[in-house]
Amino acid sequence: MTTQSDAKSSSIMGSEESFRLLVDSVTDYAIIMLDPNGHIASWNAGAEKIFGYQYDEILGKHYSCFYSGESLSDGLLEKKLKLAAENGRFENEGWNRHKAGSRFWANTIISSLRDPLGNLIGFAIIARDFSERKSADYARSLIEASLDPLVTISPDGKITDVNGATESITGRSRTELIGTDFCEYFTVPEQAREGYQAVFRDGQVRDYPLELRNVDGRVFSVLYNASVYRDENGAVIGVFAAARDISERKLADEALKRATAYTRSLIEASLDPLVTIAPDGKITDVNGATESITGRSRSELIGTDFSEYFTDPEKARKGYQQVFREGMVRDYPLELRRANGRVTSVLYNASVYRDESGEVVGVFAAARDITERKLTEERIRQQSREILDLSTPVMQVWQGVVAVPLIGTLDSQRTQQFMERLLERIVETNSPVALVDIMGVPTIDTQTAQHLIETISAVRLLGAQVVLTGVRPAIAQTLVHLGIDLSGITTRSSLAAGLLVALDLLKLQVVRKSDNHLGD
Amino acid sequence: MATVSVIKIRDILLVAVPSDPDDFTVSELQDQVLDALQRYNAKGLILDISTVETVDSFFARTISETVKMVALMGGLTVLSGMRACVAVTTVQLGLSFDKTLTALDVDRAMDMLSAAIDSMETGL
Repeated sequence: MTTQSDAKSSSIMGSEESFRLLVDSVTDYAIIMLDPNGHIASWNAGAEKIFGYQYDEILGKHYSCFYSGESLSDGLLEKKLKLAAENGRFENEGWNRHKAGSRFWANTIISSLRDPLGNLIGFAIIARDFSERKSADYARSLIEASLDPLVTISPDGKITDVNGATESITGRSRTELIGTDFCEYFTVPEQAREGYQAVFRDGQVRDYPLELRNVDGRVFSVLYNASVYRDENGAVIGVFAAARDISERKLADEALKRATAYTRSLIEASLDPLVTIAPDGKITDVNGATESITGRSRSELIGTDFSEYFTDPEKARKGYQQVFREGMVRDYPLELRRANGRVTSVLYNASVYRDESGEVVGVFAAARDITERKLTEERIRQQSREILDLSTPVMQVWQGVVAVPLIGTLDSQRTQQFMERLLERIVETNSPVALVDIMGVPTIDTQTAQHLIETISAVRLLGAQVVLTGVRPAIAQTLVHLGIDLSGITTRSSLAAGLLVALDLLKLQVVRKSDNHLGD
Repeated sequence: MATVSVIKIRDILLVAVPSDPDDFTVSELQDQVLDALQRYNAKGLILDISTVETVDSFFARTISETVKMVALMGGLTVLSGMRACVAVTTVQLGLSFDKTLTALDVDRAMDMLSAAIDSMETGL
């Protein structure tokens, strides 16, 4: 083209042909002429590119072929031309149809063409394909619609763009924000800087915690997810960062933490040693009381076998296995061995605990130190044994006579002991007579009487005799009313009378000293 | 098989029952005692069980029966030296020696029998 002569090119300029060439050389715009009825009268290269029709096939067609669907309804096209005719110009943006059937977004300007006398001779349409701009706008609207504050940062740390959510969380407008340092909006700017630098270095960060300060002073806890974005050649342009406001969640977390701390403090406050055990028998948690009873620290205990702290590990194991099987145990006795070797008797109450879905997670066991109680019980047992011994003294009151005063209620255990001791003493002292005094027995019932009769029979088998003394009126009445037959047994109301019987059996006699002797 | 020796002292027969008498020994004891009673024309019998540590129902029944048989033959029996533990067991098992006379030891049994025999002879 540049080889063409100046003369030739100047002759082209100014002519109608040159104008046509000019129009035709425009390829980014469709420049179309319509006759007053809307039929296409001229068609340039730009129109061919944008709409896809060749000059020959489109000439004379109605311009409605540029549209489809709803754009064609209700005489919209006629209205557009009418408006253009009235106002000289009509501009709008909308969907247009390509020859191939696809839609594209276009900006269209319709101008009316009039002759010098003012008669309408047609319309000029200038259209441009705005699809790209349209999709950029669409992306923008999505970004603006995001409730998460979004921001883009240049490599030097300046904010290059923000969305509405960022404006509201910072309390600053877009124009205020753009071009300023990203880090200056955080309580710890250094941390923010490290954050975006990490993105430039590693390509992305996830859940990067920062505290954002609003212009009114409020502080929001946010987690940033950020990654680099690139141009079409793959070069990094900046960082795209999305924040998530977790202030609410943090508050909830703190409330939860407080609640947990409260529960924990209750557990720690318990004087009973508490422990949780996993299904494999490992200790998962303990409280302070457990630390002191075992003499081992929390960190020493956790993760170790629960059973190893007892004198009988097998029994301990059976215990927690029973809990897993049956859901709970009560008063399970175990002996806990302290670090210093001392043994503590404990009773365990334990039950399973579950997660939210109801799955058994482990066993929660509370021990009760019963060392004291056991000592007390042992003392009581010993004392009752002593009382038993005390209550049945068998004494020899004469050569050949033993006496035993019975005091208190006669139960089977006491009778057994009383019988054995009496028989032993009879054999030991070779006494043919035994005085059994029941003055101290509060009441007699059939069972007590039966016990007495048994004892008397046993004494007889040895070859000795029992004289039952101390039969009070009340006892005598009771024996008769109960129909207890003691007819084969010698009975007396007092021990003195019984002693006389005994002496008589031994063929002995008590004789008062003569006055002569007294006088000596 | 434990042998049972029956010792005659004047009118009285003395039998020391073995410490752990089996059923056969107890039955044998009965036969020998009754034989001896007839042979010696004895008036009394002392069954000393001071070495016996356990008794059962067969022992108790056989002894009771022997006492009755001796009585039918005109003799008097005294059971002597029963141990305390044996007495307890006997009472608790509900065993019975009926109205058999008992004595703490052989001495006392001798006294009892001598007195009884004397009164029988003088009285009759």
